[in-house]
Amino acid sequence: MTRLRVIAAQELRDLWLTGRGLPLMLAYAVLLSVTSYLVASNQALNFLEQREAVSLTVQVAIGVAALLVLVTSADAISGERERGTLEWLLLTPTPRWVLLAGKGLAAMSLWLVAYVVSVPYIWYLARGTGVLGRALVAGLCVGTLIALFLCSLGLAISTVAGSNRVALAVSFFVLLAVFFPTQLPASAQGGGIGDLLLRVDPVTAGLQYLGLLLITGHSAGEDIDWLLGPVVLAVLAAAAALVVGARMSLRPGRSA
Amino acid sequence: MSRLASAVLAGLVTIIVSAAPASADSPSDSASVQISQDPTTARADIGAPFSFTTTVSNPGDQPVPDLVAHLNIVSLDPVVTVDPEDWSTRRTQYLQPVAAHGSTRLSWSVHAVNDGRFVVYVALATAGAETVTAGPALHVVVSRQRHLDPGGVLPVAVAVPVVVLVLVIAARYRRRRLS
Repeated sequence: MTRLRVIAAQELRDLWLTGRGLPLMLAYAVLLSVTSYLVASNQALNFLEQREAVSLTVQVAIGVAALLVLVTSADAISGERERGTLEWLLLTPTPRWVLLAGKGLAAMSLWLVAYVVSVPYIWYLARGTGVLGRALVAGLCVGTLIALFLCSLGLAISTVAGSNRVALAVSFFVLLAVFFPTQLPASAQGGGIGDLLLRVDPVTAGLQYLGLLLITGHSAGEDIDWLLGPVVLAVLAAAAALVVGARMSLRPGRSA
Repeated sequence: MSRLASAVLAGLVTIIVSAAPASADSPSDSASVQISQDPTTARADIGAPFSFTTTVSNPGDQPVPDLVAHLNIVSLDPVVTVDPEDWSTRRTQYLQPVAAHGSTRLSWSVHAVNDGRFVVYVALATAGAETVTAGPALHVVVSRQRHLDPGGVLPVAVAVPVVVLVLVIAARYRRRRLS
C-alpha cells in the first residue's frame, strides 16, 4: 500500500506540477464556459428547459473529462516506453500492477479535478431547479464509473500497444465506439437489441441514467438498473488492466 | 309570359335557398360564431413572452358545442421559418359549449422565438364543420436584442478559466524558480 502511495504521489506530482494536468484543465474550463454560455443563451430563448440545460452541462463535463482521462492513461505506459523512461520505472522494486495502479490513480485525478472545475457551472445553471444536489451527486457517481472504465481501458491498451501513436489511435477508436450508441436515432434504440446495446455501453447507459434523473425527474433508485452495465464494465476493465499491467514489459508482447 | 314567370320563380327559389340555414337540424359549427382579439398589435423582444386573449361569441339562438381553438403563427418574412411549437407549448384549447348569445374568453401565452414580423391568429374548428373560422390577425413585431450576459452566466464563464489560468501561471513560476 505504501508503494502504491509513493508511486501515485510521484505520478500526481508529474501530472499536476510539471505535466499537462493544469493546461488540460484550462482548456476544459474554457470549453465548459463556452458550453454554459451557449446553453444559457438558448435557455433565455426558452429553447432549452433549465433542467435540460443542467443535464447537458453535466453530460458535457463528464464526456470531456472522460476523454482527458483516456488520453492520459493511453499515454501512461507507451509514452514512458517511447521516452525511454520505462526501463527506470521497471527497475524500481515494485510490483508492476502497482506501477499501473499508481498511473491509473494519477489519470483518475484528472476526472476528479475536472469535476471540481465543472461544479460552478452546474451550480449556476441549476439554481432554483431543485436538481442541483442530485446533479452533483449523480454526476460524480456516473462520471467516476465512466472515467474508471475508460482509464482502465487506456492503461491496458497502453501496456500492450507497440507505440504511443497506436495506443492513442486505438483509444480514440474505442472512445468513438462507446459514444456511438448515444448518437443512434430513437427508432434504432427501440427493441431488444437496441436496448441491450444502450444498457451494455457504459457511456450511453450512464448518460441515459443522468437524463432520466435530471430531466424526467425520476428518483435515484427508479432507473438504477441503467448503472448495472457501467459498474460491471468498470470493475471488469480495472481488473483486466491490473492483470495486463502485471505483465508489463519493456517491449510489448514480451514477458518481463 | 310563362318565361317571365319561370324566371321570377327561379329567382325566388334562389333567394329562399341562400337565405335559409344549411339545415335546421345540422349541428352548429364554427362558422356561426364570431372571434375577436385583444390586442391586435404587439411588440416583443426575442425570447420574451407576450400574451393575448381571444373572445369567442355565439350570436345565435342555439349553443355551439365542441369547438376547438387552435393558435397559429405566420411569418411575413419569407426567409424566417416559424416552428409554432417553439412559440407556444399550448396551442390547442378545447372549449366548453358556448351558450346562445354568450361568449367565452381564451388566454394565449406565446414566446417570441424569431425576430421579424409575424401574424398570430386563432382558428376555430368543430368535428362536423366544413369550414374553419379564422379570427382577426394579431400583428407582432419581434426585435432582436443581443444579450452579452444571457442568464447572468458570464461572470462564472469568465471567472473559472481565469482561476485555472492563475494556477497554471503559478505552477509554471514555481517550476522555473525550482529549476
